Amino acid sequence: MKKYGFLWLKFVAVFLVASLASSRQGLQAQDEPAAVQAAIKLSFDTEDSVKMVTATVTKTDAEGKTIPAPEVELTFYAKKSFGLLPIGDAQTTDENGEAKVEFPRSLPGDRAGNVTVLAKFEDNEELGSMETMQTVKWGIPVQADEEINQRALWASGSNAPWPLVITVSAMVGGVWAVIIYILVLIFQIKKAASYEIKKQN
Amino acid sequence: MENEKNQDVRMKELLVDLMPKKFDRQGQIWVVFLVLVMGLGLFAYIRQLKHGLIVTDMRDYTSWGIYISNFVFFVAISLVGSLVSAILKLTNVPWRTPLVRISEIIAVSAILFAAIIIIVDMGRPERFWHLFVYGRIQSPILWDVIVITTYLTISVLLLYIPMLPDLAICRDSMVGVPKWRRKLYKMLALNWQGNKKQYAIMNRSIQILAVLIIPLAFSIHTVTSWLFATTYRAGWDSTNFGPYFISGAFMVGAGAVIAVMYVLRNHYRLEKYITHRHFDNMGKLLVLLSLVYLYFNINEYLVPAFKMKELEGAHLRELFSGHYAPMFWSVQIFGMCVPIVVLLFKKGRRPLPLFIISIMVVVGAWFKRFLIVTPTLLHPFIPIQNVPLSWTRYFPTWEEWAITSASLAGALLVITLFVRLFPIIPIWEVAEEQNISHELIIKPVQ
Amino acid sequence: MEKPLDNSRRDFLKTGILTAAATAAGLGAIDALSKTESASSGEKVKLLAPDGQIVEVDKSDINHILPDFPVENHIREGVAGKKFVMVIDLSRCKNAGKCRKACSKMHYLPEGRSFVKIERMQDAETTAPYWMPMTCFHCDNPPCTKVCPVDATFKLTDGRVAIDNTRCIGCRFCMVACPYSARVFNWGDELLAMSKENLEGIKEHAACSSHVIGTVEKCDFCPHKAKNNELPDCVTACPNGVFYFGDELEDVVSNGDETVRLSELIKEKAGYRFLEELGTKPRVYYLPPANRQFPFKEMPLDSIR
Repeated sequence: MKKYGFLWLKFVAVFLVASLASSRQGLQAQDEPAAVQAAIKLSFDTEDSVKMVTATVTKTDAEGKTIPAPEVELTFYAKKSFGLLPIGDAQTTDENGEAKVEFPRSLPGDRAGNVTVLAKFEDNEELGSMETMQTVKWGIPVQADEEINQRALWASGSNAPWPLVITVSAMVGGVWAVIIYILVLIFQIKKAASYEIKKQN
Repeated sequence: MENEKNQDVRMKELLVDLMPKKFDRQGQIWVVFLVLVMGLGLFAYIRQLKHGLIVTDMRDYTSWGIYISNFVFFVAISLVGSLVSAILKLTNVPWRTPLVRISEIIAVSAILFAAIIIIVDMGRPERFWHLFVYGRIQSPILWDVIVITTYLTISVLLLYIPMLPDLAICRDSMVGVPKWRRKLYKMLALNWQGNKKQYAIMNRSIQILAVLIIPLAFSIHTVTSWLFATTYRAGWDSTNFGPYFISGAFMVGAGAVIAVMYVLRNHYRLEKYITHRHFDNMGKLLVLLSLVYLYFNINEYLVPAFKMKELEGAHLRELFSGHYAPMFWSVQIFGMCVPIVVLLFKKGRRPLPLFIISIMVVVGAWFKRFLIVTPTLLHPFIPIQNVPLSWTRYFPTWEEWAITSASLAGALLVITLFVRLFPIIPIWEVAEEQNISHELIIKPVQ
Repeated sequence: MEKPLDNSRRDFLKTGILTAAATAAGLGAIDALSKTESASSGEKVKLLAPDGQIVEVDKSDINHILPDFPVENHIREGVAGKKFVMVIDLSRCKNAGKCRKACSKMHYLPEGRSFVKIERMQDAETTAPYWMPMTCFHCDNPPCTKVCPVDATFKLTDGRVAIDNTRCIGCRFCMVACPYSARVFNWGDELLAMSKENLEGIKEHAACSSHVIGTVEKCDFCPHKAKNNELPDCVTACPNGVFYFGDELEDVVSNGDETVRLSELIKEKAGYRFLEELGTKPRVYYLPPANRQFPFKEMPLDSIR
């Protein structure tokens, strides 16, 4: 609950600050038509064995100089096959335009352990919406184990369990060997005739 | 050592009695009837090939119907070959002699039509060869294909090899037969002359086959029971299925042999060879087999009934007191209990009562197989919802009845035609029993 | 002595053949007549209606001919490096039925037929009923692939259980083996016939070479979408976010709006698998119907909306 308490406060603070800032900016914008360009940069550092993702939001000021953009609400995601997995809570950039979020300790990556992190802000009054992506090798490497090739009752015909293959082959082989022997005996019966049977009219 | 002349006279008597005879009026009507039934079935099957299995009443929930229960029925009956030819032989039961060929042809015919009806049940019969090229050894169906093929082969051998002396008799002693039949007998008789060596080889083959066919017979019906027991369904998920099916198979096989032997005896006047003693002994055998089957029935139904697990309980209620109760109780009472009671008495084991009982056993067994297959499918783990009302029930369509009847008619036709062409009671074995020397059994022209 | 015997045999054969021929002709006539009857009334064809009943409609309203589908060349190949998994949140399902509709449209099936079932479940008379959507569970110990005699249904590296309809012989063993009744069979044309209105809104790309008469089919986890990182239609069509779909290896599932860690979702909401005790190891998890989003409302069970 404490966490949420702070968050609520943060929102209120952000709201107040943002509205003040935007009103000032709005005045400025009316004064000077300047195109504000924003950029997000991601960096990955490990602090005290905790993996942190840092996003730095910058914007261009009236003269086109790049300055940090504070009070921008950022959300972080890991890009996964079917959607964006949220990482951590929404963060607001501080006076340096930085927001940090902890990277989950045990998030699977791809085979090499790569995870694509995405940071974005949406519907910011000044900067609009923007996102950026970067891959980091902080995921747990995942082995798509090829258990399909194991021998099992549910597997393909060529992957039958050895006990089954051996038992069935032995039984079928044994019985049919006897059948073949019987057929040989039948042939011997035919040959055991001591004289030709003459054709009957 | 009796003098040759007497033996010769008796041999000739045997020939008169036991050589295959022409069909009389009754026989012809019977054959025409069977052919008509098969024709109707063929017409129905052509409709099925054209429109698909939708001509049946099988749908997504009741996906196995009377084709499959008929298949199980055929496989069950086919075990009788091993019963009489092998088990009774290896236990040296003397009165089995006239019955061996009857049971063996029933077995061959039944297993043949089991294979045919299973192809009829396939959604894509033209892909039958996939079983051999792409077969998965883990599948119980493939085990069934293997054992059925093997059992059919061994049964044919057990039918054919002991028939060699009789084929030689037919080759040498039949008069007034068309050329194709003479050729057939000659080819099949394999130069049989009845010399010591040939008898020795033949007896050795029969001995080996008799030993081999017993585990095969147990395998074939155990594997067939595993088509059901390897699933999770209520009523099928039972460890009892192997022995339950096998005991039922021996019972219905014995019933089938009794029915056929009665008809043949009456029609061909074979009272001298199939005597009251044979009926009495087959009756006793049938009682014994029925008691074993009763034991496995008790295990199969009362044990789950004691527990009444959710789904199994619903299934059992359907059988005991629900929709299938009339069929279930008729089958159990008239197909199993009444035969046991009647056959415990000597009067019940006389030919006519025994024949009636055997018909009850066989018909009851057919419906019992149906009760094993379809009611379970109406109690799946998830409730049957959001489907047409007809999908919550199963009653076979006329096409299914026609095709099933055709397969039964076909099996009977194979037996009938066999009796027409070959001696149904082994002449040489009866002759041997009557101490007629081997030299006189056949007299090949030198 | 030979002549009289030959005559009687010939007679017998003649009578037999004539009778058989007459019967066949008679039956053929009956069949032809029955066809003529329907043709005269504006030829009717049977069709599975949206409410799940079989109805007869005029042939002109039917488009039997399904478009040419790209035959799944790689039906025996899984999507590399993924293991698909699904989570169904029973606390959110109110039987809106949109998943069923979307699945039918995706797979060129009549509305009364879908690979998704929504079952009204009630575990005991004293417990609460709930709606339970069920797809194929693509089990890791699948009873269906164990019993298939010709390798027509098989397990893929991406976790799915697929069917090769060019291999299936139609024995239906897989159908009786599946404890979840997930599979349906193409018994005949009338279960696949679609009315012209059905065909509206069908997307062209929907690949569906599985409608082969006499073979079996089921939910396939929409591989043609999943391999492009698109969610299956049942997931996106659900208005209440009931279905989550994703990759077990990534440990992430999404329902189109929310993307969450699979392991956390299962842990937090007490996920379970249906009939776990059977040992089939399904790849679909259920979240119990607790803290429901909607109160349970009874609906007629033979209607599909």
